[in-house]
Amino acid sequence: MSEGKAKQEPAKEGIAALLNPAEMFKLGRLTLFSRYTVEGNLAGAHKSPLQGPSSEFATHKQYGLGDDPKHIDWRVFARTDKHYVKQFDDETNLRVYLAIDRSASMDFSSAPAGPTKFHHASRLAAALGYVVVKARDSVGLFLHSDKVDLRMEAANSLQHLNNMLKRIQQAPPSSGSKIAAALHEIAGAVRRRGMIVVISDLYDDEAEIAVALARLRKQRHDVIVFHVLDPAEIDFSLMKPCELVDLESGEKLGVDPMALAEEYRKSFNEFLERHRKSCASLNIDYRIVRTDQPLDTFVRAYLEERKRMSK
Amino acid sequence: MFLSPLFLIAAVLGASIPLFLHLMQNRRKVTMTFPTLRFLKLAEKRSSSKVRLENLLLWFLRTLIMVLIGLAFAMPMLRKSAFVWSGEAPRDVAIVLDASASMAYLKSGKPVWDHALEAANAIIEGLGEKDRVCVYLARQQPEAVVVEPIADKKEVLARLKNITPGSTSSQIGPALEEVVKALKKTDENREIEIHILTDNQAVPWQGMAPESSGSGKSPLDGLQKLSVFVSILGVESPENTAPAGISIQPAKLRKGAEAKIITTFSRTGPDAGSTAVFLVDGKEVGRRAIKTSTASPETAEFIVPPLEQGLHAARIETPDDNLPGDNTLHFILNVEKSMPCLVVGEKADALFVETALKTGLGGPQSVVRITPDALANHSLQNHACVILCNALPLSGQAINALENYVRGGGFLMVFPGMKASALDYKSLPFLPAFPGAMEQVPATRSKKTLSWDKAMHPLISPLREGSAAPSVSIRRTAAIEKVEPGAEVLVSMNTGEPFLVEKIHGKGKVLLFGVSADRSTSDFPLSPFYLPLLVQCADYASPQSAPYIDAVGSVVLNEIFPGISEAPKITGPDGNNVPVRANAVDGRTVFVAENMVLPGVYNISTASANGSEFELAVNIPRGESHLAPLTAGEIASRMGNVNLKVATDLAMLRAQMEENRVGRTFGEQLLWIVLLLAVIEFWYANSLSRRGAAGREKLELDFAGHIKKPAAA
Repeated sequence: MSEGKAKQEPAKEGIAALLNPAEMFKLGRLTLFSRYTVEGNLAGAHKSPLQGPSSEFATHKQYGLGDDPKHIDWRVFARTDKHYVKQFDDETNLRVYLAIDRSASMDFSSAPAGPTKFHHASRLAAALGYVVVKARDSVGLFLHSDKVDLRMEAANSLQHLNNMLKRIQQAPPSSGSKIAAALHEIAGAVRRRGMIVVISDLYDDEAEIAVALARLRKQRHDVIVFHVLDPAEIDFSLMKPCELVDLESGEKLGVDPMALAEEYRKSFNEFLERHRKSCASLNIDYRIVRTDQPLDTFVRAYLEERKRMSK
Repeated sequence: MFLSPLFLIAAVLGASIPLFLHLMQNRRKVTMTFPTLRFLKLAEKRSSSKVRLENLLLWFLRTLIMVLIGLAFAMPMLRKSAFVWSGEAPRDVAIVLDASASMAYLKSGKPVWDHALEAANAIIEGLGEKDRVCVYLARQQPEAVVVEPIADKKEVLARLKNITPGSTSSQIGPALEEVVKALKKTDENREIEIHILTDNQAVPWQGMAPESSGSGKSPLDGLQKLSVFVSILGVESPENTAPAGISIQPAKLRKGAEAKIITTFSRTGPDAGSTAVFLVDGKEVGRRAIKTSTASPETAEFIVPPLEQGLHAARIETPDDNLPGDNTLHFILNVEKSMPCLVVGEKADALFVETALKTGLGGPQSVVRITPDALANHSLQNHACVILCNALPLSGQAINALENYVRGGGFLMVFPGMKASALDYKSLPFLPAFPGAMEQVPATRSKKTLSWDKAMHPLISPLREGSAAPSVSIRRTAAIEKVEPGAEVLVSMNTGEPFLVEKIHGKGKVLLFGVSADRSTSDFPLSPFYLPLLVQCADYASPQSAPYIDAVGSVVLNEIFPGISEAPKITGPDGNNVPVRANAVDGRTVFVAENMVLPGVYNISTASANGSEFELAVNIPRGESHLAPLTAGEIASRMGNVNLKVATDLAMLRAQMEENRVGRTFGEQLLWIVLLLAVIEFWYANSLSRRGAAGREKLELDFAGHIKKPAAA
């Protein structure tokens, strides 16, 4: 037996398990822009509520005690014979918190060898985290089911991102979902303005979710909702009569998909529409992510659109 | 009733298949995980009643299809005639066989009659044990083979073997009446079948008036549970050529004189050429090529050579064809030496008449002349005709003798004369008209042109050939103002006055001329018209017996031979004797030959020492030669409102009987229904499936996860 064959390749984990190099290459040039003013702790590319050194002129202020005389605007003095200093907008870094749903319903895949919704959500989180970290912004994590199971503060390093993703992989979907409660918990935890990215299948009371999202917006967070869905949930493409088991409650139901498909799709589309309208009313980006959709394409398209919207 | 009842089990099992499959499907249900059931529960709540109804309908359709397939293979029988589901029922069957001469027509190498017997055998052999059958022959008069329905089929078949078709015409109607009489005696609960086996010639149906004419009811009225089968076993387009009739000219053949026979030929089918042969006493004396046509009968003329006095058997023959029985037309040529005529009048008055008759055309006549005074004492019975030439006035005894003579069948010709007054004519009540006294005709109007008022009269028609209307110069005439009722003017003058008038009195005839028989009133005796007219009158006076008769079964000999007084011996063409029956009718004895149906010449002779010998030619009725077919619709119209089935061959008849007796399976119709239901089921199930798949198209998202199209409501 050759030495090469005997050598087992170590199991991938962290970002390497979720994104391949090609995807990372494509994502490395992108930036997740915030549509609103954010409060960072480092200088960065995002608009800060504070004023500070930057190239972006904000206003004039009468020279006073403590002001650096080098900031006096001599042209204004020449016109008015008064001393004014120039003030500039501060620019800070972005803190992005990824709120990932790990309820049991996320552990579903209609294709036998296909990715589960949770796996797809993890990959999406990895992609966004990578984009954020590459842009020298910070990324944090809230992993929740019926409550927040794991919280990682935002930090700006690939090491941090890698650790974060490992933690996600180590916490597979298990229990029921109370998304609204988790979002309220997140709202309580994140005080400074930042970006909250909700990655979930949103199987909870729509009204309560809307209230939780409204609270996040009230705190001036930039909120993005990625609604992760399997194609079977959307299309209900089952053909033969079968017995379906609810992943969260364990409840069983015998169904004839052909007979129920029409009404199912109607109900499901109404459900999607309610979320879409609710998010639109709160100025929240609402996006449906199909697990059969190429992830890099989706992230790239979304971020470019976001970039346009931020200008 | 089912032909294959075992398949009913298959129908029951088939009915359970959809239910069984449904249960099996539920049992084999695959269990799968699903993120949430909340939308499914909602969908189920919304559509449960509708889905249940659709499923029920599909289940019903599929069950129905399976049941119908089983039923179709079980082949249910429907008895259309009775409109009831039932098994075998006892029945009385009557077979009417058309035994007319036309049934001898050759079809596929054998007579239609044989086909009819074959069909009759098939009908009888197909009967059940409880069924009964009777058989009647439709001839000129119906003839029973088996009078009342019997169950012994072997007996009936044995009797059928001995029957032969006749040489007469047939009538279906009377035969059906006999059948109805026989069947009405039977149990009312039995079903009745009447089979008419015929060649489809129109003649046998002529006695049955079409329904549309409304002139009578169907002979089958009053029979319950009746089915009538008419089997048309003849060919669809028959072809036949036959001599249809003859005309002998002159009607009276004289010894040593020539005559001619004008023969008419009938044709059924497309125009065709043929040959006709004329034979006298077995020797061919003439042959003609003829071209026969259905549209117009062909005629051919044959010369009869001078023959000796007596009876001569003659016949016209055409070549053999599909109906051989009518190819020969037999007839008798009766050649006489002379005809005894009695002329009453003075010599001068009767000179021209006497001379004309003695030297006339067609051979001299035997003429006796007496004076008017001698008439009363003269026996008139031995004279074929009596001619009065200026013989009036007559004594009462003479008038009585003349009247008896005419009433008994004598022929009287009256030439007026100068001696008679108007009253003298009126003393003869049997005259066709009563002329006045002789009157002078002005010279300017003496030229009279005669015209034929009754051109087709047997006395006139031979005179017209080849001659224009004659002219006579009349100096005096006995004016005839009007003719008596029953009399008819045969020849008249151009001024409208009658020249020759005829009246039938009793069995005899009376002819009255408008001018005298001598030259005292006109130049008529010198005209070329005089001699032929007198000769023709003499021929007309003694009517020729018909040269032949049609075979009709029973023949009353006295009508053909009035002089017959004792039972004759009749020898048929086959050499066998024909039985003769003597009947007493109105105090006199009438002899009836029972069975003169074989075409040919019969020899009739009496046994007494002074007995005479006759010959009689018998032919198949010429109507049988005309094979005009009758359509099924026309037959139905003549049969009236009955459950009628018309078959054109034995196979079709068998199928119709099968349908009537056993019923007709409608398994095929059921399979068609199954096919229709299967199409409906396929369409319905497919539409449900399509509806399920209608929203299966993916929710349209752009690359950035936007919903492109809002949810289809």
